[in-house]
This record gives sequence, structure tokens and C-alpha cells, in this order.
Amino acid sequence: MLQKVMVVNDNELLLMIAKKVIAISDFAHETITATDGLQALAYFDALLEQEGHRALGEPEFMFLDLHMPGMDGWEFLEIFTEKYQAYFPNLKIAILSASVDMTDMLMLVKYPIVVDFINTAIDENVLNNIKNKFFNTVTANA
Amino acid sequence: MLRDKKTYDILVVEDNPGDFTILEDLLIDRLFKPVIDHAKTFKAASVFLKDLTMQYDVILLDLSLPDKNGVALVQEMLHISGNIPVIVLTGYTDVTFSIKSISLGVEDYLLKEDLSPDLLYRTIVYAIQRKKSVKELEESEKRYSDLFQFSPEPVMVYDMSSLKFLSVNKAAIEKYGYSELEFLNLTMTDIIADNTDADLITASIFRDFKLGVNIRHRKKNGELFYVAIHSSMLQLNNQPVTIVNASDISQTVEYLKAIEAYTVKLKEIAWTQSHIVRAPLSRMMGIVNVLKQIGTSNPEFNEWVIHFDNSAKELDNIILDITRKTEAVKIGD
Repeated sequence: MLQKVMVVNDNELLLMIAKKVIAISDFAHETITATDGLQALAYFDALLEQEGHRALGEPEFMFLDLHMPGMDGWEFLEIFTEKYQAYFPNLKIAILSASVDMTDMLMLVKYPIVVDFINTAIDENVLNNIKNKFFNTVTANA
Repeated sequence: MLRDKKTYDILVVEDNPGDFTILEDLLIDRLFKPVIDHAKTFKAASVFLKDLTMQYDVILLDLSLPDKNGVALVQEMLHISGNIPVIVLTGYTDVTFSIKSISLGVEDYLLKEDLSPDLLYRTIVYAIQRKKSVKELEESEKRYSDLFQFSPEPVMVYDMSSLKFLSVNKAAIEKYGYSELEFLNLTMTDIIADNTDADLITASIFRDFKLGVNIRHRKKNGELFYVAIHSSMLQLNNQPVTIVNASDISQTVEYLKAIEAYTVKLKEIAWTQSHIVRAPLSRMMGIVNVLKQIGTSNPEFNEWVIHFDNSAKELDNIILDITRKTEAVKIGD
């Protein structure tokens, strides 16, 4: 089981669902949420401000929506990869969006931090697949 | 002696009774029951010819009649004879004039002193045949001219090197608004709106080419319209010319454009809406997943059912909205 995951989405209900599914699927111990890119960046800023932020616990995985009012997923990816990724090298991101089309997919290729696209509802199968693909040791221990 | 079985209607215009009798005998010798009408004067002949129930095959005309002779007689006879071939009968003394009468329009001439059944028969048959061929040729020329003139589509002929118009039909005059004279002072490039590059136009016409939708022509009043061009090359007075049929396809083009725009709008609606639809739908699927895992006895169960219900209502509204927007899009907007 992962220690901490982050879900960034402007829809409160979706955040609720994601939190619940993550909890009951034993995907992670803790789920933190943000409603746009700016809020998410603020969380990482807060981590960086603390001495020894690793001990405080950084999210290992993020479910990121692309279309959000405020700072959208694209802008977040641009800023995060440029300024934050060096400090959080272990973070992996899955795009969780009902509307990922071919153009989006092609544009996302330039961000290696994006490891998956979830174009459907978040459920136990989706979470197990992520665990198996990217966190083999964790699954084995779980 | 073989006789032609066809019945000939012949008008003999001859004032001399002796000459008429000889002619009659010669005719009967070779023709089967010919109908021979005898006019002794030009006036009498004109009365016969006015009788529209008689369709004469040939007129045999003596060159000197009591009431008319010479050039005047030939000209006036040709004027009233219409399509009936006229053969002139004359004596040795009038040979020169007889030859001249051919240039006035008679079919042939015969010297009375040389007459024989064979010669008379052959001259008549040939005259009828020749007249018929000429008439057919004239009719065929007229038919082609009519096809050009009365074509409902504008048709224009222009010189291939200068691109100057040589001939235009009525539809072209009506469509473009130029008089025939004005047209003949223009070149093909003058009516082409979108591209005045003469080389390109010539090159495009050499091939059986389908610029169609892209080419617009300009009327005299400046109005533009899309044309489909069909052209072919031919020789006119030993000059290479191009004959162009320009069909106005503006309506078709405008309609196609409207349909394309309409399709684009529908696609836009379909794309955006399908993404909007998917958001509440994927939330509903997520809730179902939660409900299955927590079970009905869980105290949170009812709360999740309410969330599900709200998402379903949201989805319903979105679909209603799509239907409304799609119906609002009209062809030609």
C-alpha cells in the first residue's frame, strides 16, 4: 500500500469518490486533494519550506485532471516539471479525465512524469493496475 | 427502255408550244407517269407555285418568256421557287448567259438543240439530288448553329493564342451581361475572377480539367459566380480555338459550403458534449463501484445513493442541452 496519493480535480463529488475508492481498495493510507493546479503546487511549496520534507511525506502518486477552472492540468504539468520535479523525483502522475482525446495524448508524451491515462471511472481495477505496473514491491508486500 | 418508277411533279415554264411538246415527249420517255404542269408565262408559273398542294420536284425554265426574261426572270423565279431546283432551257445563242445563270443559283442548264431523253432525265435526277444534299447540309449547319445559339448554358469560342472571344451564344450574353460586340473585345482572362494568369488558364483548359469549384467568373456588373468548365479544342478557319461551356454552379457550391459548415458545427457539438457527458457518467460509475464495495448496511450507503441520483440528473440535463443545441443548428447558418 502507498503512503500518500494526491487527487487534483475541480469536481468535489469526484474527489469524494476517489478518496473513498482509494481507501476501500487499500491503494494508499492517505489521500490528499486539490481543486486546481495552484492548490496542488501550494502543497508542494509547503513541503519544500519544511526542512527534511521527505520525512513529512510526499505523495508518491497523483491523479490529475486536465480541464479545471483556475490553473488547469496542462499549466500544472508545465510548471511542475520545470521547477518541482527535481525535488520530487519519485512522483508519478496519471491523467484522470473523462475527456482525453488523441491530441491530448500526443501532447502528454512530452511529459515523462505522466505514466498513465484513466479515461474512465476510477475503481478498484484501475487502482490495482497502477499498483502492479508502477509499484510492484508494494503490491508484493501488501 | 427502263423508266423511273418514281412519280415526278414537273413544272415546265415554256411559251413555245412546239418546244413544250418535245419536252413532254422526252420526259415521258424516261419517267413513269410524270405530272407535268405547263406555264406559258412567268405570271402563270407563279400561280402554279403558289398552289401549296403541288410539291414540284423540278422546274424547267425557258429563258425568254413573253412577260419576263434574262437576269430578272432567273432572279424572280429563284425567289419564288424556294427549295425546288430550277433547270434553265436555252438555245446556242444564249450559252454565255446560261452559264452565268448557274452563278445566280439555278441548278443546271440545258441546250435545247442537245436534248435527249437520257440527258434530260440525268440532269433532272442530278439536280434534285444536288439540291437535296445542299438543303441537308444547310439544315445540318443550322442545327449546329442552333445547338450553339440555343444552348441553355453559356458557350464561348475563343482564339487559343490571343484568348480573344470569337463567338458567344445567347446564354453567354444573358449570363455575363456583355453585348455580343463587347464580348468580342474581351479575352477569356477578362471574365475570370480569381486568377488572371493567362498561362494557367490556357494550361488548365488543355487538360480535361476539373477546377470547377475553385473558379469564379465575373459578370459585367462585377457579380461573381462559380463555374464548372467543359472545354475542347477545334479548328475554326484554320485557327486553333477553344470552345468553352461554362455552367453556373454557384448554388451547388454555396449549398456544399453550407453543408460543410453544418457538419463542422455538429462535430463540434458532438465533441464538446460527449466530453461533458462523460464527466457525470464516470462519476456515476465510480459511485456504483463504491456502493458495491461498502454494501447496503453501511451507514454511508444512502448518502452515496443521493450523490448517484444527483449525477444522474446532471447527466439528463446535459443530454437535453445537447439535443436543444443540435436542433438549433440549421443549414446555412
